[in-house]
Amino acid sequence: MIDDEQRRLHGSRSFKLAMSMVVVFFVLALIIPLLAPSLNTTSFFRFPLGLLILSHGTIIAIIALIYWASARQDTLDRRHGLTSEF
Amino acid sequence: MSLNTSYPSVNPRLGTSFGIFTSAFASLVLMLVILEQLGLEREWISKLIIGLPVLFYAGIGLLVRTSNVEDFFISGQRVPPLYNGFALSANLVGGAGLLGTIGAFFFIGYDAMPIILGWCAGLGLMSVLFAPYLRKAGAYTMPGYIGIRFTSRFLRLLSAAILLVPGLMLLAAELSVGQLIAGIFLPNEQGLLLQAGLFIIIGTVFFGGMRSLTWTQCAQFIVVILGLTIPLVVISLMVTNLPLPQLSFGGVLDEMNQLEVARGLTARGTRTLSDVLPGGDPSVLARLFTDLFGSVSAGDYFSLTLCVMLGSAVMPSQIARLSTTPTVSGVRKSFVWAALIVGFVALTIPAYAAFTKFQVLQQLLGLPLAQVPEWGRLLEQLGLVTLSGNQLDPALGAARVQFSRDSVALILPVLNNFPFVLIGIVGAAAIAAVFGAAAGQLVSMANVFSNDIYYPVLNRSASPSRRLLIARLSMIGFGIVALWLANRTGFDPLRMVIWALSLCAGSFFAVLALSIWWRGLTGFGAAIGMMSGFGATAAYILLTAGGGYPWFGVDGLAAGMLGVPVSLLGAFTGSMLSPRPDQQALDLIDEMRVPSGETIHSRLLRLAARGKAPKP
Repeated sequence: MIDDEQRRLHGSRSFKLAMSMVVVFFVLALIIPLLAPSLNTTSFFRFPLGLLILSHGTIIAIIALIYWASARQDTLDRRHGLTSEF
Repeated sequence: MSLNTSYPSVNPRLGTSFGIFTSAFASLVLMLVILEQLGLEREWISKLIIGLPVLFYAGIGLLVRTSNVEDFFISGQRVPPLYNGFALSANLVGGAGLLGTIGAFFFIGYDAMPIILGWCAGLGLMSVLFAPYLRKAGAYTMPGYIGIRFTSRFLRLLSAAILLVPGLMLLAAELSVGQLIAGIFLPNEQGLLLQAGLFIIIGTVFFGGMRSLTWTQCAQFIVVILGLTIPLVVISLMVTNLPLPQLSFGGVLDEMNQLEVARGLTARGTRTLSDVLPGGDPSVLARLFTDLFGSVSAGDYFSLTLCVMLGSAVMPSQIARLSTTPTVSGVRKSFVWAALIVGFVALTIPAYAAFTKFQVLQQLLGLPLAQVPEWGRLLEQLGLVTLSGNQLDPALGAARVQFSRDSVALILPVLNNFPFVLIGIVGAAAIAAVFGAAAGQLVSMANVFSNDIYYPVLNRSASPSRRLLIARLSMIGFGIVALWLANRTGFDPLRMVIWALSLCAGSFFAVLALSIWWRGLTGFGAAIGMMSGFGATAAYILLTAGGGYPWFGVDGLAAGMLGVPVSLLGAFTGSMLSPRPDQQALDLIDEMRVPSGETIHSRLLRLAARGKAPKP
């Protein structure tokens, strides 16, 4: 039988993780592009900096965050004894 | 966390099989390069490079047959994360998206970014908001989940009916892009291409349903990645001496900017998104590549990103894929893989468009008609560009060059005088992307029809084999409807995709997110939310497509901007007006949050077998 206290803690921690990830994804996809033009005066790797952050930066950040959130949620599941792994 | 955990009951030779497929494709390409040098005609090269992979997909479809309900609808829940990731990417990107976005980058540069950024962010949202919980629910389809969550057959039917609209639009968009690309390579069979293509697409999934869909989509996406990268890497090496096109295209941006200014491509516009986004008709280049917000205003950029992002997070064919992994943690891992694969494509698309535009500016634009080299004739012969110049004296004045958005991707290898096989690879990649996404939509709609319309409403006592038969027959039915849509309406595929994503976002995003994260959402609230969201989005699309004046400056393509808040408000008010959800519903939400144990769907099946619960 699953411990109720563990379940409650697991639930609230997962909720916090998911919501903070949603906020971060919204910032990355919606807010960063609006700031990008102001960074275009400098360049990096021969790209205008704003465009580099917009195209490469946000996409790589999103990939990394999906990996991080997935690993973090797995740790949470394991810590509270609710893992789905065999 | 390791990404390669192995699970029992998964075929251990999958890696070998796909390794063999990849090397077979590579050797086909090499063999055709040799045969081309030996004098094989161009017509045969196109037939082989387009036809052989397609035959292979059809072969998978014929070999992977099943008569098991679980296998047919959710691939037996034993797809390893990597392969599920491939299938998720194939559903998301699709031919219309891939070619349309390369073309859009070619025409309006970085202002086309919302589409690819929306894909990536949509995957992210889906992986944290929906994936683990819908996997735990374990329903075969999205309406199936809604039916379990609210214990309501009406809601199940309602969401199934709504879902078919964007599904058919996406399928029709894929079919018309497929027809365009196949027509370039096989011009002699023009009349039959659409029907033949649809026949093969149905063939790949007819006998195996979701199971054969999974394996064909993996093979198809391998071809997509190879086809996009091989020509691009070669060109990147030629132009910048670096084999990493995604990073090296920064080196041509400066020079490209100067060329653009020299050729007078400096138009900036404050027109609406629908006007600026390039359409399917041939048009001239007019805008700067690096001019962010030069063509699309910041507001339109924001709303388009939001619509693509929320829409791709609740795309029906994607939601149907969530139940296919062995564990809840497996579905999260499959999103990591999908993000890597889609992210790679998303980094490649701007590079592809940048190199194409750079070389077009350098070698084609500004030349008088008489001086256009031989590959210019090939471009025109294939129908990729239309050249027109001074009628009296072709040596005078710069020729006017028009490009079609969806075939821009094929220009790059032609421009460099590459062997025809390399042009064929890009075509094979485009066809593979079209096949993958079209089959994905077809299977998800057929499963919805059989599981959520036929089985619960029309025939409650249908046997498993009968349900599979209905799913198979409905594939043919939906295929014919989409064929009609693609042939008759003549809407631009990329617009069709964005409208469909807007519709998905408007109808389902708010309700699905609240159904998992808000305990107060009632069945009545969900019904109001879905209906009002769908109604508002669809009405706004029809209004603006019919030439109506946009409200609050929201463009018709980003109708989801209006639909999502309306649906959120509807779901909230509806829930406030109806009695609070009962204990059974609250227990169900709690159960969904616990990743361990059997799925809710299989628990209900077990209870139903003992007569203690209605059949899910």
